[in-house]
Amino acid sequence: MTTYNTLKKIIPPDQALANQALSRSLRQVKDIFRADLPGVSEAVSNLESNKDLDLINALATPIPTVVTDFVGNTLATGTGPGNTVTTNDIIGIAAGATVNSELPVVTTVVTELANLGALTPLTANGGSSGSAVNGIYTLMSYALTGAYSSGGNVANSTTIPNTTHYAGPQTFGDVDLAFSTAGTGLIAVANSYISNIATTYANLVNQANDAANACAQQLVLNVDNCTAAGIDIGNVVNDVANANLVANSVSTALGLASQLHDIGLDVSEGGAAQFFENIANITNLTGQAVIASMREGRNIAVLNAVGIQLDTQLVDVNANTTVANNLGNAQYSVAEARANIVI
Amino acid sequence: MSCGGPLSAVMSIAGAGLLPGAGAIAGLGSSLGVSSALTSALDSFNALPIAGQFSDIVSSASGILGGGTLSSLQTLGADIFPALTNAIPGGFSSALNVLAPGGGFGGGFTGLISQTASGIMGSGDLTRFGQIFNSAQGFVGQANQFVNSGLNLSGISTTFGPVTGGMDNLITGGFSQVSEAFGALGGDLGNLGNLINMNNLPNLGSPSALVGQLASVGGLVPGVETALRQAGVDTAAITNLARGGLPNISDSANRALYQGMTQITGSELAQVKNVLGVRTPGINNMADLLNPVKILPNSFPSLTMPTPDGLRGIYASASGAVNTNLERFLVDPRAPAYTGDDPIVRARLGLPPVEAVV
Repeated sequence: MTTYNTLKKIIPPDQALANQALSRSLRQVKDIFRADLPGVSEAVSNLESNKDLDLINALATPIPTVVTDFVGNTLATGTGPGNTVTTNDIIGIAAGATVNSELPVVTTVVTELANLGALTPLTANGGSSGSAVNGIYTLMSYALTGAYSSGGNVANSTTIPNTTHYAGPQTFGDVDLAFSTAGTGLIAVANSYISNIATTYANLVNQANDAANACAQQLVLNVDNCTAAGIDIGNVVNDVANANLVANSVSTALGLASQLHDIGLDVSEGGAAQFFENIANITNLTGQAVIASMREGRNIAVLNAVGIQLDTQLVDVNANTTVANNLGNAQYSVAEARANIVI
Repeated sequence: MSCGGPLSAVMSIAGAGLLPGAGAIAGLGSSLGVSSALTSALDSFNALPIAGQFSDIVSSASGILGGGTLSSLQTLGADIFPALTNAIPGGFSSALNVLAPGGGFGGGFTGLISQTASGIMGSGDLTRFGQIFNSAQGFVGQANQFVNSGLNLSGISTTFGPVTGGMDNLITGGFSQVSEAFGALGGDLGNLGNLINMNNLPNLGSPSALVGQLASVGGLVPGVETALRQAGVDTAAITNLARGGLPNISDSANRALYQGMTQITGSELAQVKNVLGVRTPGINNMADLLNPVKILPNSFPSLTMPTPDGLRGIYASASGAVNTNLERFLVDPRAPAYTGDDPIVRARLGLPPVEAVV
């Protein structure tokens, strides 16, 4: 490398300075050492600047904080690296994202509480509507059958009997009031027992609540991101016929099949490959083929990387296409070609 | 007409299971469905006696209890211990209102999860799922493109700013640091043919570098060979140079070579220009090819160099007087805020490799 101090002893100092300065400027250009001068000249001739764009030219950072903050709040809401969005963030509930691991925690806690007898005030069932040991849920069930209503009619006066778990008898105008009346209604009493359980078994209940909240959070994440992605998730769940989706779209099925190699390449946590692994029907041929296709896609990628091609693709449908017979023949025969030759 | 490439065998099998009606065909079946692990987890919860008991209560209450009371029943314990009523956890009822208006859902929380999963999978029509998946993947790609742009900021922020030309520098790949008169500069460069070796920019202006480029492009011409000999360059070195070897001569020889170049004019100069493809007017001797004012006659007044104080003109005036203020920066190799991609220079300055800069 020629330094300025050296060059100015070889060529006129002013030219040395200009050359060194120009060299330094040119070396600021990304990848310029891979280019040639004719190519550079062609490119430079067509470059455009931010001329007259005063706000752009005044920027002190590539992307202002107001933009990064807004983008972050609007789009960087996912669970991927840097809060990037993953497939599971949008539709992961179908693959059991979060729920598969968290819901069993809830189930285990409730089972444990039942085994401890903690749920008895709610669930105890003496076998008849008049049993003195009936819990609140059991009383609710009988009440809804009209067992405690005058004439068996839930619209009539309803008297909930006294039991080990309910301070009765309490008479209400109808079964609805038997449920809804503050203090003595069945819902209020059940709520009181649930509070007691939550207090008495706080550690267990907190475990279950945290797990249930995680499941709910997964749902919320999916709802929010589906909405952002333009998916009418409300109707997808409750009224799919009005969810702006085309039913029985064969082209969609074919398109999805052709994507399976690419889907398999997204092996990120919460990504498309993980999602499809979880929704593939592993018990039948086509479901296993989904997983095989993704594996095949990954194999193709790693083998192609070292220059090896896989012979897994079926013959292109073009091979079975009958060539149209009404196209003009654009090739000369030998005789025709010979006839065209000038000696 | 066919489009796209052929499918592989396993893709064809998988695709068959996505088509409408596949689920009813023996030996085929639907390729996809709600996660079996999810179904199992939901079934296990729903099989709890308390869950079944309360589910029956809610089912029976529908049509018997008034709407308000039914809603209270469906949200019973939601804020305390929702698992005992299979209620949607209270803190989420608002966020999930689009799925379960009012915070209650007929099948309880597990019913809501199940129905949402089923809905996403197309409610029995996998082609609907395909459309949902495509929308989701489209959003993933687009959103992450934005998000990752922000993540990658740290790479370019280290050199972004008025010192290096701000956004012009970014959108022009750094050329704005050379000149913003792109048309004039491009035109001048276009007249220079192959005069400058972009892979040898550190030696720009060196006579030996110019001779090396000449030899590389088309071979030495007699006048240049004579100048080399008169500069004291031995035959072996000249032969090596003519074969494309890198010029490596002493400073004094290089100086003598420059002097020799000033004598190369007329037909010999024309030969040199012809070999290099130089069409620039006003070149009177070979040494002129080392003078930016001569080789960039239209754009030289616009040339700039990055300095710690920002971009500065290389020439003080349009007459060709050089900006001597730049001298101090050229003596200090740390001076410019470097944005180029020379890996050695970037490493020396503690900058990340260009691969990390998007």
